Amino acid sequence: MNTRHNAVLFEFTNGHHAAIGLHEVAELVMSPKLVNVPLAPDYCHSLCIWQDRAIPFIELAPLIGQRSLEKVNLALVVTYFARSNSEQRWGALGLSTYFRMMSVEDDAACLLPQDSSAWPSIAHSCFQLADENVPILNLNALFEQHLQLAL
Amino acid sequence: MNTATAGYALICFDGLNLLINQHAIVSLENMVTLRDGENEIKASEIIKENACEVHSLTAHLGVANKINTQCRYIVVLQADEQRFGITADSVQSLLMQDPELHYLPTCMSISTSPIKAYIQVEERIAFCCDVDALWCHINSSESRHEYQA
Repeated sequence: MNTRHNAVLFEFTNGHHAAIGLHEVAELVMSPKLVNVPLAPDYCHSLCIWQDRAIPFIELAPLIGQRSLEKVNLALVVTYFARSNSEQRWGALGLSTYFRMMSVEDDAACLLPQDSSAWPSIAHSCFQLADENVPILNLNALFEQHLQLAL
Repeated sequence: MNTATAGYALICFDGLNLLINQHAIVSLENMVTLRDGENEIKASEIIKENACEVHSLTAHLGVANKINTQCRYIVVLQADEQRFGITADSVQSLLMQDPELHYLPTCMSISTSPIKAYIQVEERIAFCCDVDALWCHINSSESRHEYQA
């Protein structure tokens, strides 16, 4: 592992990437065990069973108006501290392919993508990677509020 | 949330496990108690001695457009002012001692949903279901998609 790596980049649907801090990654789970939650929103339709915990499983694609993954093969388990009580919590993100670690510098900062009104609600910031603006997710905002799906 | 769940029943249908307060259960009927033994049974049948609507629900809590005659039981439930039945594959008392109830994570919680919490038994999840809210949901437009039982 390169000690300068500070972020994890992942593809959540074809051609669309997002990132989180490297320190927020707990584990990459192959073939995650998912339990459907009746009446839950499309973007967080299941609980993921991980290390005897049931943690919320989120797919970013439907949240920003993109097609959902046809088959979820990977779940990136992440951890964050709830803003309400500083309690450590876990969640899982659906991935279409393996993630990669990278170094993100301040001078790569850019505006959030304009393809969805959801990004300002769930992203801290954004950086430029080739031709793509890659949002850096705010995990507390993503998992600790009920979000409206982009239309 | 630590709450003793003594007095709860585990009702299973379409792969979904629901926890329901046993006080809300009026009776448990065998499927054969339905008046019509034919295949074409509508989703508002009558139980002989407990006149009420009977519905088959899907794993997503949608209301099927036909009674699922593959189910073995009909659980008759008492909501605030209404008695109704749902079909089930199995019904059992919850035998766990003081299992831990968890609220659904905020991101997947919906105010009108009858599902607010769950318990976890190894890799099995059972969802706690409020019967009054379930009855409201069954009568809402959201539940009335054309599901096939």
